Parts: sequence; C-alpha cells; structure tokens
Amino acid sequence: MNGQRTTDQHGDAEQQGAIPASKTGVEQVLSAASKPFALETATMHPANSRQDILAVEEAVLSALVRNGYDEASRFAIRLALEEGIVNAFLHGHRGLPNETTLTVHYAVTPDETTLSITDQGPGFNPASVPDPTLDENLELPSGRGLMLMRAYMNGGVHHENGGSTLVMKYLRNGPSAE
Amino acid sequence: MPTSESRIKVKREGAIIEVFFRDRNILDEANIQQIEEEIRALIEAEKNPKLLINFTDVDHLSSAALGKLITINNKVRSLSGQLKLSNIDKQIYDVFRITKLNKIFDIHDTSEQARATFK
Repeated sequence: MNGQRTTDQHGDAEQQGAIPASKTGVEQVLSAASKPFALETATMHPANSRQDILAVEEAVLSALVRNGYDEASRFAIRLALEEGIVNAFLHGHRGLPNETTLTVHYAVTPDETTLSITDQGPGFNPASVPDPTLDENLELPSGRGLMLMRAYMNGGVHHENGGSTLVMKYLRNGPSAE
Repeated sequence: MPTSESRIKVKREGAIIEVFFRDRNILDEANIQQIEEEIRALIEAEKNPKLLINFTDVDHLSSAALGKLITINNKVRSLSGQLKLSNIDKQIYDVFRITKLNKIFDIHDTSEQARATFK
C-alpha cells in the first residue's frame, strides 16, 4: 500500500491507560459508562488491488466492532465502503494506473460512522447516473453501487470536490435500508 | 477455463445444474469474472440449461456480482433455459430487494423448492 495507515485516536480511555487493571468490577462498569466520547479515525491510501481494499475494510470493521456495532450495521457499512472504493477506482480512476491511490478517511464513534473517499480523477456529476431501479434500467449490468450506498448509509451520501470526494454517513440508531 | 483454482462447485442431478460458491464474499472483480466464465462454460454446453445458483454460505455480494448475475440470466434466456436462485441469506436478499432485482430473478428459499419449479 502506498502510504501507511495513520491512526489518530481521541478519548480512548483504555489506550491512554485511564482504567488501571487493579480497579474493581463495579468501578470498571462505572468507568465504561462514563467513558468519554470515543472517536476512532484514520486515513488510508489504497491502490487498486484486492489486498489494499481488504486492508481498508478490515480496519473499518475492527473499529466498528470495538465501538459495539451489530452485524447488520457492519454489513451495511462494509457494503457501502466496498461499493464506494470500487466505484472510485472503476470510474474516478478510469485510464489511470492501478497504483494510483485513493484517500479513504473514516471516523467511527459509538453513534455514527463517516466515510470519505477521494479519488485523483476529474470528478463527475452524480445526477448523470441513471436510476437502476426504473423498469427500463433493471437489466443493465452496472449502475447499482451508488444506489446501494444511498440505501445503506442512512445518514446521507453526498459528493464534494466536483464529484471526486464521496462522503457518506451511517447513524447507528437511524432507519434500516429500504 | 482459467488456470487458477475453480471458484464454484457444481452438482448435477438429472438436467439440473446446481452451482455453489466457494467464497463467502463475492466482491472481487477478478473472482466475479472467473465465476461468470465458469458458469458460462457450464451452460453453453446445454440445449435448454436448467441452472440453479445456490447462495448458501455467501455473506457478502457486491453490485459487480449482481451485474454478472444479470449477464448470466441473459445468457440463460438466450439459450431458452431457466435460471433460479436459492438459499439467499436475509441480508443479501435485502440487496436484491433494494435494487429491485428480486423482480427479475426467480428466487426460492431452498434448493428443493427451486428444483421443484423447473419446467
């Protein structure tokens, strides 16, 4: 992978040694309940290889597990991340070498997850993507990635930077995909 | 046939060709391409292929895989065959439902139920 994963963790009491091992069970429960707002965030730079994509997915999934996300939430976020990264390579980096890296940033808290994927391509107009669920488009073999991301990322999906950056949010207590 | 290891398992019973996936996650473009080629090779040898794709043990499926399923469906139709899908996990069925592909594919809960509907 071109560029190492950089981790920037805030407010993780255990990592900062705020909960001594000698504490009693009761005190540990209280500490966990009053644990400060935990944020796990990192920036990764995958190239267009399955190995790099899996490394990003595994990093995000691990952060989700540590923050207590259930299986359905992890399924939703992983699917959106997969579709977002693959789309960025397939469309954003069309014509660019496989070594050209994306910038994937994630921020996971117990309540919400934000993913952003920035490619080095020329950008695009999201409105130009046809609705794959219209009867006339149902049998098109492509075009479902964006709609799946919109369906599963219940906190919203939008583009910035002329379409080169995709930002999507998942709310832990938000609605399920419809 | 690609030189790498097969990505599917095949069970033939009578005229029905049942296909299982070796991978729990069907995401990787290269794997998906290989799966399509392997299935295409299976059905092209048949006159009116009766193809059953069994999704048991599949945990994740990408939109790229959905696209290839549509291509396979079109191929089966062009050979005057039938394609049925079965044993799709609830979370993956949601992906079919959200994309409305449950309207295109003939989906059954179990392999036995799917087999019983081939004409």
